[in-house]
Amino acid sequence: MSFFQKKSDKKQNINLTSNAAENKQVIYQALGESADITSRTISVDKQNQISMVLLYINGLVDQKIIQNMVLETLMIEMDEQTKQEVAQTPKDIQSIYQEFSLIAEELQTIEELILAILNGDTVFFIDGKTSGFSIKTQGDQTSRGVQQTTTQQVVRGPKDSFTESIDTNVALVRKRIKDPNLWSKKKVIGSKTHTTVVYAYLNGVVSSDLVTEVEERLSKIEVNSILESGNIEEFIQDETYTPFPTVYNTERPDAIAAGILEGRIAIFVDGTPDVLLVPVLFKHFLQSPEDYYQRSDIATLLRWLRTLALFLSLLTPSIYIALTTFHQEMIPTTLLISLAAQREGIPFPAFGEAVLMEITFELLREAGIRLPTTIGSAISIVGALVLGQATVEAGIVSAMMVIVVSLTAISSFVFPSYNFGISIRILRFGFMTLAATFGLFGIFIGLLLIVMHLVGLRSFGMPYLTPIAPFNKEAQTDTLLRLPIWKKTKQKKPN
Amino acid sequence: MFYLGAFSILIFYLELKRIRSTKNKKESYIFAVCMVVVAPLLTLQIGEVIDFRIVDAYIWAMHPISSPFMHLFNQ
Amino acid sequence: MIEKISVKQFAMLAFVNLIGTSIIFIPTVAANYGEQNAWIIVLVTTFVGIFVVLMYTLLFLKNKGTNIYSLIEKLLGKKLGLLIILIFMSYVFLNISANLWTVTQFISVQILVGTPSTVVIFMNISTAVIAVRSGIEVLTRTAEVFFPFIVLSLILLCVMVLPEVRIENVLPILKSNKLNLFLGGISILSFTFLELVILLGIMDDVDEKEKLNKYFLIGSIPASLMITFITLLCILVLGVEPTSDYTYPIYVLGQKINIASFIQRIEGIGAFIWFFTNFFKICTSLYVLMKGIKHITKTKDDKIWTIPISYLIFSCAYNGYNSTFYDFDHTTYVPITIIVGFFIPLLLFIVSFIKKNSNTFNKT
Repeated sequence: MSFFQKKSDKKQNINLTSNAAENKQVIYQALGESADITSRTISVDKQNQISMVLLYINGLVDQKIIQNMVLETLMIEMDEQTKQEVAQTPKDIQSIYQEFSLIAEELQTIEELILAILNGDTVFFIDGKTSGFSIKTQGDQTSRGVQQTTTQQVVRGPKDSFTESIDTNVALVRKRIKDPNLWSKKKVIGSKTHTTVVYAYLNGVVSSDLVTEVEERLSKIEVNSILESGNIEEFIQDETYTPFPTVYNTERPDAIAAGILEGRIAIFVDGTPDVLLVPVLFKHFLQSPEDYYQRSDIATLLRWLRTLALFLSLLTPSIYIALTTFHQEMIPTTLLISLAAQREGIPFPAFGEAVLMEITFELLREAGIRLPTTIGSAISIVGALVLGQATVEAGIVSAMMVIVVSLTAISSFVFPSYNFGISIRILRFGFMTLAATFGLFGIFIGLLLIVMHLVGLRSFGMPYLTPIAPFNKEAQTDTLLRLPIWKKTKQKKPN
Repeated sequence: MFYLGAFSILIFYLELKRIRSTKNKKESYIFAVCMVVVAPLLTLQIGEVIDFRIVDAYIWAMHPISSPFMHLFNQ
Repeated sequence: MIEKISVKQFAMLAFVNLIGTSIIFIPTVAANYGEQNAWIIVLVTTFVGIFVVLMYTLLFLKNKGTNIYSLIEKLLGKKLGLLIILIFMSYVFLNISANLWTVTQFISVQILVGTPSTVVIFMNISTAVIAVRSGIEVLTRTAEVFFPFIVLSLILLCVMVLPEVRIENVLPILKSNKLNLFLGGISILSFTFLELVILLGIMDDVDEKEKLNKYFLIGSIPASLMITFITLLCILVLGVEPTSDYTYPIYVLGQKINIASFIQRIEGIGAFIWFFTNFFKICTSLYVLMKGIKHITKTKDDKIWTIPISYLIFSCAYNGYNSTFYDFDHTTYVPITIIVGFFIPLLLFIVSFIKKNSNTFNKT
């Protein structure tokens, strides 16, 4: 496995020579003579004595840029030069590029050159020079254009989403915040993948402690590969063993822009459309970027609805279990009678029934995600008809249980953030177990434990439940309520 | 009783491990001694092997003060 | 890291601590002594309570906001101080285990019929230990999260039960045995305000100490008025006899709720209020107890005591009160509360006053 190989020190011992062809050979060998490395040898003087070698990886570069920038610059210049009949020296070619091309760099070591090639740059050697040059020729053929978001859709608001290219992503945010104080810092993480990671913030609004904290945590990452922002998230989050996400991720540029404007820090990772935002608080998972585009009363109602959904999806099955198993006296009599009639002949206790149905539902959901949309509808038919209808008719599960589970399922889809929904899914099973063993008392204990865990959590130094506990009066205008924007008189500090 | 005994051993082990990790030898001994006294006491009490009541001792110790009160309240 | 709580959080803790346990027992106790005038006793104790609270905060503030334990040691010297601290701690210990016992009893009698009380105690005390081990900040913030729900449930309970009120239950007002009123007042005071002496132990964690005076009152007076109101409601709805007979009148109050024949029997509300307030009370007391042990033994790591002490509390709450509780309540608990909650602070107050005077005298 390549992960376990030690870094070979062989390359470092070899120095660049003044012979371009030899240098090319060195690079070729260092890259294992891979098939996608392309080289072109051009002679730059009329006597065919001084040659220049271009090296690049085929799929990573933009052929047009090479044609326009590298070759044509050379041709045009050479024509002028021949007109003036000035002898060609290696030094001149270098200066030509540095004058006429926007982005040429002189690189001394083989490692730097290899990295440049792997980044999609074109590297060239000239006879008589012991250093190489790189020109930025990265092509965007591998990435798709800006498309509509698939995971966090809104009715009103911008429809664009981030792409796999980090430059595009940063640009999408920059387009929204045209402010000289929008600063971005770059880092390269991953000893094998050399993934570009950029963090951006609004200088002056963000607290400087937060910036140093992010900087520090990113610097501490020592790992072979970063393939997605999730890898970064695992390294920088405050607490690993918690069901709750302490880093926000989204593919909506407007959400990231809003976060940056609030004084938070966005972390872009090359190769993924999911951009991270820190710090994040519990309340942010109950908010959608759309809240700020809708009228404030509607947005407030929607937030309440989501809060209700939070409790419903967390507690409905467990309360049902607790009531039917331990506290029948709390159910109104008429309802109790109809419940008892339904449960007659059902072989499982309420807990078994609930777990059975919940697991079935989770399976259906997981299956539905992986399948193409055309087959996905078949799954819903199977789920609704076969499992919902048939299990009730067969007397395996009571009709009430199906209602409870579907209510839970619907509420769990309400959250704008997918990873928050997962944490609720995990906790729901814990609550069901507690309710089955201790009834309402178990639910109380579970709530206490969860709240204790939540208030102890921190996201980049910020208490997770911030505007609620510790209570902050100003922040209440934008927590459960979404008051009109002009009510927030001054620029809000990150809380 | 058995569940509690097993739990006590588990919690004893975990907590001792935590205290040892703070490199505080004296306190880990204190903890160990406390646990060795307290855990069997409770376990045996719940198993109804022994009848051990701190509160009774307390009530007895308070007796000189409480008897006038009792007198007052029983009126 | 030094953990701090704000004065507002302290006020919440005071509210929760006062409501905890007492809300379920005061109606019974008060009805026992005052019959239809029970609520008047509670109201009067609220006024007395103002002075008790002021005494606590003054005692604390006059001595530049030191920890109760170091305060006792400073004022009374090493040996006497240790004795007083031990009495104080034993009281706190007793308080925790009694509270735990009552809530367990309530749960295993009313909510979870058939579940062994051992399991219930175990769940309760382990949750409390987890809370205390996570620190006072986590504890108060948890209380902060549940606080609105507790207040909301209280209000909901009061409002929903209003249609069941029978005015004739409280008549005639003010006609009763004066000695009984006095005795009832004392025991109610010791169940409510005097128990707040435990909060002296967390006062030094508060951020803006100079505002403590105001916020302690803000937290405790509404709580006491709430208890008064609940007592009044109990008598208005249930009548005197049942109120003094039921062990958990507030729970019965919840059962009486019947609005449009659909919202009925939501005694879960009463259980919710009591369980949570009682839980926070246990946690606060446990935290104060841990602080005391840390002060005496001077261990660096105060967490090591949580588990052994919780075993002892478990042991007490398991069967310590089974046969003796109601005797214990009046004969042991009330005097020890009066000693710890009234006489010890008074003693400290006087000593600090004398010391201060002699100091100023020496200086001049």
